[in-house]
Amino acid sequence: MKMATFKLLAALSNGSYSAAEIRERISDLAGGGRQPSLASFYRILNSAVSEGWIEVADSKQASESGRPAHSYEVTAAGVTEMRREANLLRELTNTALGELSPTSTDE
Amino acid sequence: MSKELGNFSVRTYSLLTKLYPREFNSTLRADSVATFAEEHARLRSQGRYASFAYSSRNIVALIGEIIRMRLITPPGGRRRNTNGTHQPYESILRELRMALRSLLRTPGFSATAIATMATVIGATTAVFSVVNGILLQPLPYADSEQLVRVYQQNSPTNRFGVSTVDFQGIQQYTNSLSSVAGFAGGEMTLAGPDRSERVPVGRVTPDWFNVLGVTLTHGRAFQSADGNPGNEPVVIVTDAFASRRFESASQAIGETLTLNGMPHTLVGVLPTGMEAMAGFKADVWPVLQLNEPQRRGPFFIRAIGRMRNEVSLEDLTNDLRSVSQLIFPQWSDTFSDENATLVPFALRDNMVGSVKGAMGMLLGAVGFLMLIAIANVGNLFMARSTVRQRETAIRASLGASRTQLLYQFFVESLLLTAIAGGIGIVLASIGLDALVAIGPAIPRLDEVGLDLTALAFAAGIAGASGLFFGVTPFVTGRTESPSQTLRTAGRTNSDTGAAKAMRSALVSIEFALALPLLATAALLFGSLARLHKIPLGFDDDNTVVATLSLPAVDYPDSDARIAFWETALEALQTVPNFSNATFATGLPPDGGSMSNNFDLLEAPVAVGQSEHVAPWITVGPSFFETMEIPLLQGRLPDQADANGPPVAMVSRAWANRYFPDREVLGAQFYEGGCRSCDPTTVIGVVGNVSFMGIGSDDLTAVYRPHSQFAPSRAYVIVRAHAGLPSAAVVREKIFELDRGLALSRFDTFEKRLSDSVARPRYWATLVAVFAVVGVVLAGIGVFGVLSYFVTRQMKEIGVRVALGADPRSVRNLVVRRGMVQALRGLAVGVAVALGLGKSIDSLLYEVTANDPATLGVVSITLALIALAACYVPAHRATQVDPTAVLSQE
Repeated sequence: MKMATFKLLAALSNGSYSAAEIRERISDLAGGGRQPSLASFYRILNSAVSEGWIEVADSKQASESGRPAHSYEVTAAGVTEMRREANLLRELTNTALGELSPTSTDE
Repeated sequence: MSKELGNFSVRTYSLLTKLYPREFNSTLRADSVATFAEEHARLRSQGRYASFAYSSRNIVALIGEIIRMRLITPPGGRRRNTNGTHQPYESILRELRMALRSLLRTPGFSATAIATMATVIGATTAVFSVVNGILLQPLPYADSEQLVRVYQQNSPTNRFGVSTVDFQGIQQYTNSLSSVAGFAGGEMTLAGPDRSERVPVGRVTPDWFNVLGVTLTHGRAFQSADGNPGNEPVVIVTDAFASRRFESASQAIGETLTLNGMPHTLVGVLPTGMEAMAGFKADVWPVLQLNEPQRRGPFFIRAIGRMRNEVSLEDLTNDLRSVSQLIFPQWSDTFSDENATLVPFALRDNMVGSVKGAMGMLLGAVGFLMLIAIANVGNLFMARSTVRQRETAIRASLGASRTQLLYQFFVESLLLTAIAGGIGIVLASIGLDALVAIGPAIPRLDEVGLDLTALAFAAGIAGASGLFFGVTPFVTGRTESPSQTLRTAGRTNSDTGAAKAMRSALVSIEFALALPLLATAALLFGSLARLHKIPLGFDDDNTVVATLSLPAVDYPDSDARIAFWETALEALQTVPNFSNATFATGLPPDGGSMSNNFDLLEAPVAVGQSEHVAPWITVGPSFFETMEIPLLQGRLPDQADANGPPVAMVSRAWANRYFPDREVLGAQFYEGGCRSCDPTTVIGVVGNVSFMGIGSDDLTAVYRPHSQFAPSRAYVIVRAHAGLPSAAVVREKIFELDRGLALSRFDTFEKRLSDSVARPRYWATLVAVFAVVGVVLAGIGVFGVLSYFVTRQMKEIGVRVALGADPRSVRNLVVRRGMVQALRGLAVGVAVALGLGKSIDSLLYEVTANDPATLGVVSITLALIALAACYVPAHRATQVDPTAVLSQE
């Protein structure tokens, strides 16, 4: 899984959000960096929807502009995939920290 | 306006999302447009710039994503070939074939659009290449940003070279430079097997090649000992010179070149193609041996240095200021100007600074031309899309989705601009050769070429204009069903309001851009005409000039030089057709090769302040008669002055500046900062002649008689009774006197005057070419739109005529429509011209960029061109036969 997709799933890990909200959450997760362009955001979202990891949630609420506000949420398959990826990242992180620790001790 | 632009952005974004591959989730597609619109609306409340930046970034990113997705998954979904592998480009090739067929079906349209775009892409790319090669590319030396030129500067506008004292001071005391070198250019007489020849030389201190990081291909570079006076003089030559004179570079090493009568051993050959260094061009590079200085001046060395790593220009400035303060007290008895300080300038800026403004203007002019062409071709595309409504509707009714239709339009427009881009690159290559060939002396012009940056630039223009042409008809097009279109298209005026507005706006934009372009050309030519009209102050007819140097070995003292010059002039005056001959160390209009500082005895400058400076010309006997410069007061030098106290003639401007209300004759001054020397006395005042370039405000000049200071190098000036004096005869006469001497750079004054305005003429010519093309395109633009309007409104015009409208009212209707668009554009154009005026002020002479007369004439000219362009379609409208038109309905 690409890091951008993982960030997208992570941004939706505790509820459903609109596209604008997800983009803000991704930016926050990345430490306040610049938001991805709309086009690349929707490309990643589209691929996650195609994989069945995210679905478009029904929304009865209208946005400020009056259009029906779509929101998105992670599916069960998405949660499983996100867990698998998170575990993989954790293992990688632990391995990397383990490799680094002797040098730190020497210092 | 802002709201319209906002809507345009949203519509463009929405339209582009239709180019997503078919399998892209439709809900996400709609949601992306809605999110874009909301975000855009929110940012618009923060200002236009924020919303514009947001739209630009996201539209560009969207195009990138679409290309990326399309290349991986072409329209129609993924397909597999017989081997079961994906063929992602199959669909693109099919679309390209269809687009090519479509363009070939309308050869007139395609040829016009391709020719227009190819011309402007070619022109823009050629000019961009010039600007890129001269201003943007780093100098062709390792770590060239560390290179600096060092001057002496005593006021914001007066800077000059450094002296031996300064140069050695910089070498000894500066910590910020890792190395420093000096250059003294000019010409030297190179002895040949038959005859001598004058060759351009760059005399350089031993570290010159090291400072620039130039490695020699044959032989060795200079060593520090080579620079010591008394050591054997050595020389390095260009590869071209070595091949010409010694057949090959390797054979040249160890050979001897006799320069100005002094044998020099050839120790090295420069790499092929390196014929200019740091802006100085020469074939022969002898070592410069600096003698122990006896005084602070003269300031004849052009110094360059390489800054150490981590040193900034500011650090170096401070460092050099300290060096100046260290040197000053040691030599204050021979140079009392405490204001003079060593100042560094980045070498690249120093080399190209004089053409920066003109380059910017040129790039702006060609940019305007490109926008005019894009507006013009954009109009053609819009008209074509309207004409093709019926074809489009048929394809839609046969099952083509709007996305597929849009995709097809995009492929067509991109294909067209790609072809135009290809042709444009060929034209740019030809145009660039022409620009370089006809170009005057412009620094780094010989380094200019069509490189990858220029090709990317051309591709960028082609791609961006292709996208614009593809998207505009759809953004402004109809959204009705195919069946409605089939019922109406081709028979009524089926343009939308947006399409009409866009078409009119494009015409107005063309005129808005054409006006400043034409005004700039008019202003530049006006300036050029004024420069040509400036009185020269001398007679330039029937005269040739050439340079001649006397080698120090053969002419070691003043007596020997005086004897030669006088004998040479006598010999020349014996030629039957020659009416007069003389010589001088400076020539108008811009050959004041030496300036000198002086201090008036009656009004000395305060201690530590900068002395006055003026062009300092040593003149031969009968100089003023030969040049026909009038004597206004006093007398000319005579034989008695040869052994008398120093005397000088001054120009009227000099007299008026320093003695506005006092008697100038008899006034005295110290020259060159030497207080212990005898003062020079003014004995005469002559007419003004410019030595600082045509148009220069400074017409001051001081003339010294040759009998008191015999020059070793001067311009020989010969006037004939009729026609031009023969250069061959002049050369032969000098050759008869001394076979080791060679005259060089034969010129007429007409040529010298022409050369002195070569740069302004070059800028004016290029801008004029762009302006003429721009104006023609704008005229064609309004003509095309009105012709289209008349065709589409044929039925309405027929009805008007049937109801009794006379031809005049029909003509007025059409003309009014065209003129409104043109005049609206001209009004904006005047504002644009006024806004951009300051940027070209420095290129103008005795006229400002906002000159109301020029703007008025240009506006009226363009309005008349628009009127002429309107008249033809208007006349056609008056010829409409109502019966025929209505019976077609």
